[in-house]
Amino acid sequence: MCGIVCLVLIAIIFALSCGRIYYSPSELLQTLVHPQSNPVAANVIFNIRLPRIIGALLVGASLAMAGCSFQNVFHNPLVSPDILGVSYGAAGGAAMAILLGYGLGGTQALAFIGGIIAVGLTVALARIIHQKGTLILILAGIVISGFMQALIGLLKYTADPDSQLPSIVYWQLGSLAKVDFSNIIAILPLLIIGTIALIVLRWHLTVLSLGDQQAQLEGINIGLERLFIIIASTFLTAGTVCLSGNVGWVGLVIPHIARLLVGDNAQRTLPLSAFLGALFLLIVDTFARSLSVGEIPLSILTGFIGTPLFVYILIKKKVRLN
Amino acid sequence: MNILNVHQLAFSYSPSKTVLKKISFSLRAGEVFTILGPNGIGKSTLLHCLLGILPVNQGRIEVAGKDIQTVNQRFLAQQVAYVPQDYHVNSSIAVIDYLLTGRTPYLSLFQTPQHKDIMLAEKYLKEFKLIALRDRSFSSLSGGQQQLIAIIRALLQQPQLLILDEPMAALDLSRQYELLQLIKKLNRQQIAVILTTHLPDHALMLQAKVGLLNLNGTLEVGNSAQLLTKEKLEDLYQVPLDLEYMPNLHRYTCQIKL
Repeated sequence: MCGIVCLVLIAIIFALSCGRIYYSPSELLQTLVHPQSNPVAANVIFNIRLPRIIGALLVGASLAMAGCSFQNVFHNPLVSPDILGVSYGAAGGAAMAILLGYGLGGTQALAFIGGIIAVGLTVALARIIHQKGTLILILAGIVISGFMQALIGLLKYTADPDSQLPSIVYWQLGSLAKVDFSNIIAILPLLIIGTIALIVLRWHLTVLSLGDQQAQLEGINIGLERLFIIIASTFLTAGTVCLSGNVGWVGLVIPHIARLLVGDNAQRTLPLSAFLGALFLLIVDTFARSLSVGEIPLSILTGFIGTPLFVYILIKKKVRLN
Repeated sequence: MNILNVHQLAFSYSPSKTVLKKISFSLRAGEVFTILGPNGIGKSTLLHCLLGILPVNQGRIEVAGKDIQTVNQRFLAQQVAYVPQDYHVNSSIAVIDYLLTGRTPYLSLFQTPQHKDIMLAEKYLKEFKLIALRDRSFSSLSGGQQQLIAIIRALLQQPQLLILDEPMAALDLSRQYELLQLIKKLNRQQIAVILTTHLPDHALMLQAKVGLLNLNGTLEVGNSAQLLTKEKLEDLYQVPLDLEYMPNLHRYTCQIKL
């Protein structure tokens, strides 16, 4: 764990240095210690890069923890944080806000509400179908995600192709370009609540990963605890979507890397997933804003990196089993 | 006080498919109860009813004097431990972590397994000569090894009643012998054991309380001398059988008459 923390610190220094203007480590140190010695650099570092770096760390860590928790509670390694529809619900809320002409704050608020509504509908649908178990929740999530995708399609169809449609598409692809300290402070309580809840339940996450029957026989109230974990993970996912839009693959792939490193025990995989997710997204975002004149949306890079990484993990796991 | 009281238990999967009918029996501390019946008769269903996994249609089940329908789940987990017939685990969890999940009933919501829990798990691994498996992935073990690890996990719950569903199924002769010795040891430690089996020889070896789960869903309860007769076993399994007394073993063995 110490190693990964060091890597995160190195990545932060790298991220603070890199961008359209490169600052050497000495310049960086000078600006951090004496901001008034270089006001331009201080403005870039403190007001532009630092909130974005914090945003990347929070989004990466939150998505990875949510993914780790969902994979345990649904005892399915192919599950990601948006399995219950939160990402499509949030994208739907954001699209609606853009169509209504809301500013960034309003878009983020509606994105959050859309995400929560989508998960609420998923849980309600699963209850209406009146079957126990995790599979019905996943199926209900697929149904609600499908509905939300259709809604997003309708909103895109009615959007102004010159002014509104690009904003909706850009939101769906994910970006930390507009993150500032006020956005971070606004969603921080959600992330703190979600993180604390998952850390408290980390041992029960391990027990739940072994199956509902065995968890029940160990004295766990599976219905109630699964609901708490879903709520906590939804807070994390919806909160991050408010900040960055949809960022794919982090919640699916990072927990697998954590499991490869430390085994299948949420006591260890949950915190490690958080650090690995933070590191991964920080590096990706640094490249996203540095590689070209225009910013590359995050989901494009996480997709290109995440998919071969996931294939590698699947192959390695098969080899290990043999 | 009896550790388990079952009164007029009835269960059906659907109105047309009654599996268990008017089942009543009690179990004292340290008593061993072997439930016999052919495959598919409902032995596992009966165990799932006793554990509260399946809701009964009629009847009452009490563990340590408390109705399982209303008792706190954590209290029940501290009294009763279960080793299922199928314990397939879809994860690469290490053996030691898998074992430690058996300590969950003794941990509060915020707690994770403590040093004393780890020491207890390692002590059991050493007793069963399985300490070399400590850090291996559970899914990489053989079927027999997985079954033994599942039994150790159940023992880590420190139950008053241990329920084993077809525990001999995947075990070789030496491991079956170890398990039978373990059951006798638990018997001396006043831990009650219920095990299901489709082989009469296991019940004949244990010479304890026996239950015959019949095709009509009823459970005939008695001691091995009363129930493990040629006529009753042939009626239960619908095959010709022979019971032969082995003087060197001081018991009967059951053979199929081909």
